[in-house]
Amino acid sequence: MSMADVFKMAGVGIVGAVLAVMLRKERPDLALLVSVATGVILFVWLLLEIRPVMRALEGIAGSMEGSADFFSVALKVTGIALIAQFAAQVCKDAGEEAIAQKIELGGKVIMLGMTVPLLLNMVQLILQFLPQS
Amino acid sequence: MSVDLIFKIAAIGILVSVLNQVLVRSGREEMAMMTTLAGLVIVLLMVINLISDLFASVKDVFNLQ
Repeated sequence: MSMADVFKMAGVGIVGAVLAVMLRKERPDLALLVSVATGVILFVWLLLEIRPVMRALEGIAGSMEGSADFFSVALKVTGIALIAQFAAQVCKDAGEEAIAQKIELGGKVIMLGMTVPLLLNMVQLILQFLPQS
Repeated sequence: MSVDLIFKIAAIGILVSVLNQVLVRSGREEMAMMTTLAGLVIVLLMVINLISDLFASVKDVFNLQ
């Protein structure tokens, strides 16, 4: 993520916003699509930037014997949160608060479903340390 | 990820709105409706491709699959 990238991102974002506003009066639907396209381009761009960091973290987590699967679940949960947040934000931009709430709720439910097994074996781990009364 | 996609979408949007005005003024409302729909479909296809790329890269980065 070089210094120049932040200026590029700012530039792309501002141009996208201006184009969206320009279209809003005549064609509100196309304006929404312009803002979604800008959002997606910026998102994909920063995902490509963060990929090596994630691989490095995965390497570090893999080296520690216990925490490999914990970290992979954390990674998955982050991905789900990002997607749910993105979709909910698009719906909010379109003025559909109700749909946005449902998407966020769905994301939370999926994340909860993924972390329950983790919780279970963490509790077992703790119970091992406690003296058997 | 081509930035010019944004400009393409905006250009289509402006073109459709101008065309719409011209057609409505010249009395052909149904043609105006058709061009509006055509523009919307084209832009939707482009955005859907973009979103599928986004989901693919998210799956790749967070190895969701």
